Amino acid sequence: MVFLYELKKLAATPALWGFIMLCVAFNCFITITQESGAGYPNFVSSVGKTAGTTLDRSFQEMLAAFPDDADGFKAALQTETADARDVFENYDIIEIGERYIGVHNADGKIAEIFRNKYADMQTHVDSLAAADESMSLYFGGGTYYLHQSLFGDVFGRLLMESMLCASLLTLLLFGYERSHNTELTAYSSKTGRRLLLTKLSASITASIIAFGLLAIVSLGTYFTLNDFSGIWRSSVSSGFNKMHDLIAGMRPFTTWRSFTVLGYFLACTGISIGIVAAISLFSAAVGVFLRNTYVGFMIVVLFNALCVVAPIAFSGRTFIHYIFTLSPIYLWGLRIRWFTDGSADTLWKNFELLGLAASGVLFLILYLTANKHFARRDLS
Amino acid sequence: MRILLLEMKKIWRGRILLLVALLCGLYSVLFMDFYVGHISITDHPGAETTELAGYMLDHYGATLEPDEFDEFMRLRPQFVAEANQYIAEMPVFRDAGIYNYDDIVVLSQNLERSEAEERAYWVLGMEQCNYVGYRIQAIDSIAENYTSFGTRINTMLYDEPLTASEQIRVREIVSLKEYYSVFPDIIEYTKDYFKYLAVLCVLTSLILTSPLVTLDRARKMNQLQYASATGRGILTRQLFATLISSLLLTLILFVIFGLLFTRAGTMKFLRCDINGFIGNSFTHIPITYGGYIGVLLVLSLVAAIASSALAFVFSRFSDSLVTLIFKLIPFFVAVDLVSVLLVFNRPLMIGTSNALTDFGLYAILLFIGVAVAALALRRERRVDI
Repeated sequence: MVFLYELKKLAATPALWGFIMLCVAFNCFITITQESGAGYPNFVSSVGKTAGTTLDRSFQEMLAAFPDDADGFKAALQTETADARDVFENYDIIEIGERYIGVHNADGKIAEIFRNKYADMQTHVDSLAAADESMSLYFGGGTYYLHQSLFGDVFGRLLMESMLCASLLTLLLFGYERSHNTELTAYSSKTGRRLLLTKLSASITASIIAFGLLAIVSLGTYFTLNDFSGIWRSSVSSGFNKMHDLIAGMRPFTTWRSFTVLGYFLACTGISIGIVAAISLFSAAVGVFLRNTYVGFMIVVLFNALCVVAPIAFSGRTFIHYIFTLSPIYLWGLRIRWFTDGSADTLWKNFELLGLAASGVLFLILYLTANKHFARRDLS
Repeated sequence: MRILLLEMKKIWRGRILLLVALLCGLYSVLFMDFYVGHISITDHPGAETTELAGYMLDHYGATLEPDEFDEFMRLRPQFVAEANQYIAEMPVFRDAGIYNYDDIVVLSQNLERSEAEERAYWVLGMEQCNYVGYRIQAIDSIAENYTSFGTRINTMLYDEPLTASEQIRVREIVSLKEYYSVFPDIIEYTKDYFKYLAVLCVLTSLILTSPLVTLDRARKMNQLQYASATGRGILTRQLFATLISSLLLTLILFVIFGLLFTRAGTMKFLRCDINGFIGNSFTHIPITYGGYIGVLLVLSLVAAIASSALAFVFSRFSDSLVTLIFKLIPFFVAVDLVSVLLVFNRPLMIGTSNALTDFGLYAILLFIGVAVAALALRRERRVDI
């Protein structure tokens, strides 16, 4: 019951709804006005529905049966898919790992972890090659643009807005009693200071709901304009999909596990929810420690800024450089590489899961410490 | 006056100032240091071009007349001799079959180089050869730009969609010999640096000044204030305190980040007209580098003050600091979009901006900010609490 009352406090805050509506409007505006060039991807999706997403002989036959179109989409897709080859065959990812080690001038334990990571990835690459995983349609020649646009741009905006929202609504809830002068009444009730636990669960729940609201409208608009229905079953490691960095240039999009586009989308959504919850947990710890919510929000912002600056300040020869890349804000920055080897920026495999777990544990310890501190604080 | 000072004291709190200082430090590392470094260190042969422009400024003044150009070009044989000396001394060149600078020129036209040739080709531009390769590239580029300026302008007149007034202005740059200016091609980096400074000014002004009214309202102090002898006139003083604080903070940031910008080593060009032959950007009006920086600073100042005025209104309608932040974030994003995408994109530049739009947008922002704040004050005087 108290949990619902806490949620009601948030629901009764017009500024929160105003913020969410502005974010939704902003996302929809960007999605609608951005030059999507959706004609070709939508055609590919319609082909995927009929001909499947595996690039084999039957796919070519079914594609050939499609009526010719004035835009030349069919001819373009036929050319692209006819030229498709297994990009994982003879793909030497260990050599790419060596380049990353060279850039950081890394040695000792760091170089060893890098080498182990890329040796493991090479094994997986070989299995992908054996399974012809890259012979998958995705969006054909439009794959790179659409993959970047969905998992880079749309998820980037969505997650940043959700993180801000999570932080603010958590601080709002934790500062609510003080700002409404109900602190003494609330904490002298039967629930007492255990109220904080209810506030925490309400904050995390509300943060996830806010993420959900933002996601439903923003992604709904995106998927209305860009038809993904025919390619959900396609492999995300399609030969058309690439990842890019300054050191290795363009290279195949290689994940630790085989993902369909739908599976990858759901996995990214899961990580996003985890990051939102982690930010909410951190904000809760700050909100309990500091009674001034304004300063609290500044601390949250500064902490995240520090996590971005620290890897620049520390060389890639030190572990501390890579530890900061596991922070939620850095994970946000690396969103386009989730579930991949992470390029030169990350040291450990499955960095997004590791980062999420490490942030979760760290923030939980912070929160428990803050809670303990609060339990002894004289509120009168 | 006493109340104004007391209100300012409420704004300039130590804890917030400390956080603002930390934010400025992190922001500077993240967004601004790059541009200072880019001008002076990392961009080749840009850094060498800037260095040679400095040489021209020291030896011939702010403009380079044709006879001075001939004298300046005598540097090239010296650079080539220096390159030849490195080529003779370093084995990396011998291994690639390179024995003088002419061989490097031949190599530069050959796209299929062996590994040894590739290594030798790049070594001449590196630190161990004192960047002499880049210095030669820079002086060649300067010579090309100086001698072909007329052709470049003609191409610009025929190929680019310029308005009639822009065409007149471009011809004026030639006829008034503004293009003799030795100003290097550093406008983009300068503009980007000051664009981020403008964003920082807006951000810090909002952080510092916006809680003033909200805090009073959250503590129900406003009722006490309204019942005092000053009455609701306190709001006018609070608005002035907000605007003055924003002005002061912005000026402090100008001093700090202006001093940091001097690390780029471009301050010596302050008196040079920016429509010089080295660069590719031309302005709607004849303006020096110092004048251009001045314009960027004025735009930043206006943005910061206008934002503070509008934030004052938001703070009047917020009952807690968190709800205030909920309003400030979209507002900050909107101001940034106007600043970054429109006004600070390429202010005053021919072909990409309109001088009227540049200043008009910020004038409108300032007007809206102050007008809405004044309206809010007027409304507050009449509201029954």
